[in-house]
Amino acid sequence: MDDFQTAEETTFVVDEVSSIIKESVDAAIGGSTYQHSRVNQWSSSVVENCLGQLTKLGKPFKYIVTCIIMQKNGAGLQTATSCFWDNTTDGSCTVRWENKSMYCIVSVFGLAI
Amino acid sequence: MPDSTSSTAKTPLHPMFEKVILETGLQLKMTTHHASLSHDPVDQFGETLRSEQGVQLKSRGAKDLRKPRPPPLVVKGAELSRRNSMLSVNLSSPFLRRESLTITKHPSPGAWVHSSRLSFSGLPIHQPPREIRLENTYKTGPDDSCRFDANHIQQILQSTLDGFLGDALYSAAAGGQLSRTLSERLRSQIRDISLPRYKLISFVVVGQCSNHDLQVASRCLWDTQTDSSAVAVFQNSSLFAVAIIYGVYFE
Repeated sequence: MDDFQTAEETTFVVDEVSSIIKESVDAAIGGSTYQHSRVNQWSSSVVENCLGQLTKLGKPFKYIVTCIIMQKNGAGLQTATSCFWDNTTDGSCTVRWENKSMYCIVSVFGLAI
Repeated sequence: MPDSTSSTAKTPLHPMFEKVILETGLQLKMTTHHASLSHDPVDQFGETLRSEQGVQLKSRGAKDLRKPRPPPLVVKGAELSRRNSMLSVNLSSPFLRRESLTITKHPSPGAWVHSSRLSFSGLPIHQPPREIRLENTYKTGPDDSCRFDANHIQQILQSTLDGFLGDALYSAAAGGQLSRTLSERLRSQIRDISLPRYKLISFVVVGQCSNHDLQVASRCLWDTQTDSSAVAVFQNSSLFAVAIIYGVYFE
């Protein structure tokens, strides 16, 4: 069985994933104010939305979605990732979103099967 | 009992035989009595080789006797060719290296193991660069003992974080560099102990300790039997750090 998949179907397309992430975050915490009691639910829904949309793309990838929600308080935050993978087929996309009361950083890693 | 030297003189040998004789210094005269069993010079030659040289050359010699080969170098120039090939090895060593490192991603069902051809003297013959195709291992998953051990890796992460960040102070300028260094360090550490065919992603969050709240969540779409992750958290009076390692099996 030969796989005649095009390059687009087997590589990680950053723009596509970036737009999916933005939509998911807007849908989950669009106009909300930070509340400690709801953060758990928000992060779960952001991550699940993202993952659902990514699986709908139907590409042969394993996905890892990470979400950080932080209250705006003047404190600093740094994130870094380091990956050991196949550069030609795998990729990642990180989106930084904010509103008046909180920051949301979502990272998606796609690893080709 | 026919003398094998006379037999070789009478029957025209494959040109490759001459090269072998010269290079290995074989004396066909020294045949044992069982060599006379067959009159076929090919078989006699093979038997002589077997008795003289041992297993490795036997397999090589036996193979070459049967296979049609391109016309080899002239006998007299054999010495020169050996020296030339020595030089060519040095000059083209990048080619050889490339050859050994190139691996096709999807080996066909008929893939074969390909190694550099050796002359009988043991020096590699210069080959044009070719892709090396590996045989199918027919493995669809890691061995039971070779899975991503989350507990063990979590201990390593924790000890590295504690050691690296023991008394560190958070600063906006240095924070970025700190998180990058930590991420790469953790990844290379886990890579050293990690098993083959595992892709690794190291994710580090370093933040200032202040009166605020933070939530880190992640969800993964993978094969739960082969893939896993490990988390470690560190906190001191001025900063906190969260390190996550994901290990994903690559088929």
